[in-house]
Amino acid sequence: MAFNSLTFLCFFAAVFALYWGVLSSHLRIRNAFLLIVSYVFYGYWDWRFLLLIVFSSAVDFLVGSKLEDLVSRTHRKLLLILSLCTNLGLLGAFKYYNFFVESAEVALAGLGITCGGLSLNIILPVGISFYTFQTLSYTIDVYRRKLNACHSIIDFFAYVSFFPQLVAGPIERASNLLPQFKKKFEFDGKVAVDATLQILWGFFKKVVVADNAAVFVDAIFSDYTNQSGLVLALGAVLFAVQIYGDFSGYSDIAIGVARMLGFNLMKNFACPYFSRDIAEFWRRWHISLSTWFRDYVYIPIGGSHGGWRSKVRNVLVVFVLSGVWHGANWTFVFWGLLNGLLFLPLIVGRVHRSHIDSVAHGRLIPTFKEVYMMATTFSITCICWVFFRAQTIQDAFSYLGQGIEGILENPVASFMALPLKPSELTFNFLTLIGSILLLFGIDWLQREKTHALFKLPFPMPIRIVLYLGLSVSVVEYFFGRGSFIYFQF
Amino acid sequence: MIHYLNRLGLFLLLLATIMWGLSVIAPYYYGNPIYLEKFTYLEDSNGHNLVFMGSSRTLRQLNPVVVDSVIPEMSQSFNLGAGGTFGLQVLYTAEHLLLNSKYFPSLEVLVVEIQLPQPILDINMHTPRSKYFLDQKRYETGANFIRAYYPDEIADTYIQNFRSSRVERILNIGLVRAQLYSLIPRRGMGHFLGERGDGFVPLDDELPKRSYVERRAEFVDNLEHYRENFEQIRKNEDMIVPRDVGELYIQAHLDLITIGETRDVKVVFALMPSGFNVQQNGSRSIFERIPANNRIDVGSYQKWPWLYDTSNYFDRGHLNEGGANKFSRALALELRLLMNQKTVN
Repeated sequence: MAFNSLTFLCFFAAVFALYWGVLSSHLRIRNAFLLIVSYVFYGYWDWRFLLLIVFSSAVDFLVGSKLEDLVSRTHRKLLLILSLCTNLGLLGAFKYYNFFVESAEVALAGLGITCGGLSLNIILPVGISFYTFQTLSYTIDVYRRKLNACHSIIDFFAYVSFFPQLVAGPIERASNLLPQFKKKFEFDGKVAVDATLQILWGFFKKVVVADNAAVFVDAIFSDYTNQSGLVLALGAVLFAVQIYGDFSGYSDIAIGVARMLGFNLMKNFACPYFSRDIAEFWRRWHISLSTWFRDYVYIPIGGSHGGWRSKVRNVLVVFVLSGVWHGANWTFVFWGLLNGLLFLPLIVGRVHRSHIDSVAHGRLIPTFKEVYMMATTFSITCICWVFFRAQTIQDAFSYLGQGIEGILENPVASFMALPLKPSELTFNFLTLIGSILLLFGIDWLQREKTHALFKLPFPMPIRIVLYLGLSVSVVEYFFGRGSFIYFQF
Repeated sequence: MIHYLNRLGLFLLLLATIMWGLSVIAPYYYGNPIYLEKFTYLEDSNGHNLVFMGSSRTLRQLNPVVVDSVIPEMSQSFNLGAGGTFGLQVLYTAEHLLLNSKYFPSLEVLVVEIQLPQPILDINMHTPRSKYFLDQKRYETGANFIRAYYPDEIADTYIQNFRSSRVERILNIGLVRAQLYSLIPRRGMGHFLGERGDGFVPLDDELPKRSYVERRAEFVDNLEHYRENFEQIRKNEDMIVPRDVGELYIQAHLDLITIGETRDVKVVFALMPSGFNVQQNGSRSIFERIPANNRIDVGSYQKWPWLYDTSNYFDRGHLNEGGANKFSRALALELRLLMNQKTVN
């Protein structure tokens, strides 16, 4: 069930009441309860998805237990390979089979060999990429002896399927989340209030900002050949806003919901659009995935050690894999590659960690140089997002080409095509612009805090008015578009 | 815990009060841009004494000029039809019209097309038009109709959609901005008032638009199929078994007649030509429960065979302008008979 549904709100109210009212003091019963409600949450989409997650969890639970007991390196490695093959095999079969088959058919057709009909009608289980990576982190950490195996099947299954972050992250490490299933929590009113505010902010980003931006983005991208240059630029910027609002909104809701139950999930976004270079962007965007790739792929294959050739290889491998993780389409592969190419000069020049602190640290107003760097990074990111959003790589190139050409050739005509005449469209557009300004305004003020509404530096009456305003807008737009973009990954 | 729940409860109460307050101060929402256009126009125009309400069948098929020529005493008729409106929406809007004397102060007769309520399909869920009319009365009426009319397995889904939409209506979710939009002037305002400002827009007038060209082409390409369909309607007319539409939906029609009487307005329900794919058995059962002096039948194949001639049709469900003029005359004659007029053209 999606967070932005009445069903979820009722579901969570019931879970919350039972959890704190009856079950929280009995650890095993509490965890069993969390497992059951997580399966209800996931099975609500399609009960058949449960078979996969149960199978995947069972394999990793057994492999983890065996890994702990075994001494032989060969046997341990074989078990790890078994886990990797099972998890990545399921992911490959359900997510990438058709992509590879169709790509192979096209390639063979180029050589004059025709073979067709190999594609299968497969449903992509929601969130499979997320829980596959989560469960893999467990097996790899146990294999590396960085983590003890979990001996409670209920705790482990509950960890894999923990409903707040099951379908779109954050991708939790076993070392962070699993031990929390062994702790008893006391209800903390202050944490609950703060978590409620984080959920409210997440909903605002999703249903008010992202869903409204999506209306314009869909209209522009689906008919880009008939749009002016400035409208195409607007489309790219709005998509950047949409995907940020959608995905970081989901993360805020997930983290907030987990905190309401006493669990702490990792931060997944840290104001990525205030980054000063692409390396900083990737430290602030989808942090749980970036760090996963860093720890389980980048560092094991050599990381930033070695000569420039191995650095180039390692960076490109990670970014291309990150692109592939996002979806079975060449556009995602190209998007990953493009980000990798943008990252390369920074890592080869050893300047990829020059912006560790938040921008304008300790200051309200950034310097001109900081503004310039943020604007440049944001513009580059928007260009990359066009490849992420377009149907094909060719579409993305013609979108960008037409946009640049349109702005350079006739900027006035481009401007006139913006929806500025009095109409319902203008109303929507101005509402969207207002909500985007509010989003980035609050994000800027709170960029060094744990979340955007944490201890806002305003007097109480202003804070209450802001919370009520956000709530009214969330209620008003609650049923915007339905699912979150990242569910498809 | 209690302290947190108290704070949350207080906040939600404040929020609910604001949502309710917004719904009270926001302008009336008509649920359909055509209604908005026509009602806005009518605020400055008060001479009409005969008004037609209904779906696109009314909008596209009832020509007030023809009606006025047949009933000269009712020389100020107006077509308040709106495309895409369901039975419950029309009854809801008709009630709003009758309860507010600022609309049509000279109104004497209100003719309402008999329609089925229609379920709320998934594609329309969460849109303002799927819920703005769902006050408690309309919700109960709709749910009662669904239970009576559809098999249980389908009814459950439809009832769920009604229930969700009702909750959204109570919480005023997604309606405030729709109400605010209605304050903004729209492009193309005035189109649905028609050439003569009487609200009649025949489908022929829409022809340059692509979607209408496609609709027309579909009908012309499948003319034989539609002829056969009309032939089926003729054969089956005597065998129509009125189908249960739920007592509350029947009662909603009777209530509208009563509300009309309080304003000295005669409410007349009209059975329209069935066209293609319209369940006559449901409409017929409503028709038969309405008092004889508040109903007219302009849907009978046997009585009006030319209304089922494909040459009078624009597409599979609507008459063309020529057909609309014939139909308007037929309806006016029936109406005049009902009103016991003495002069016959």
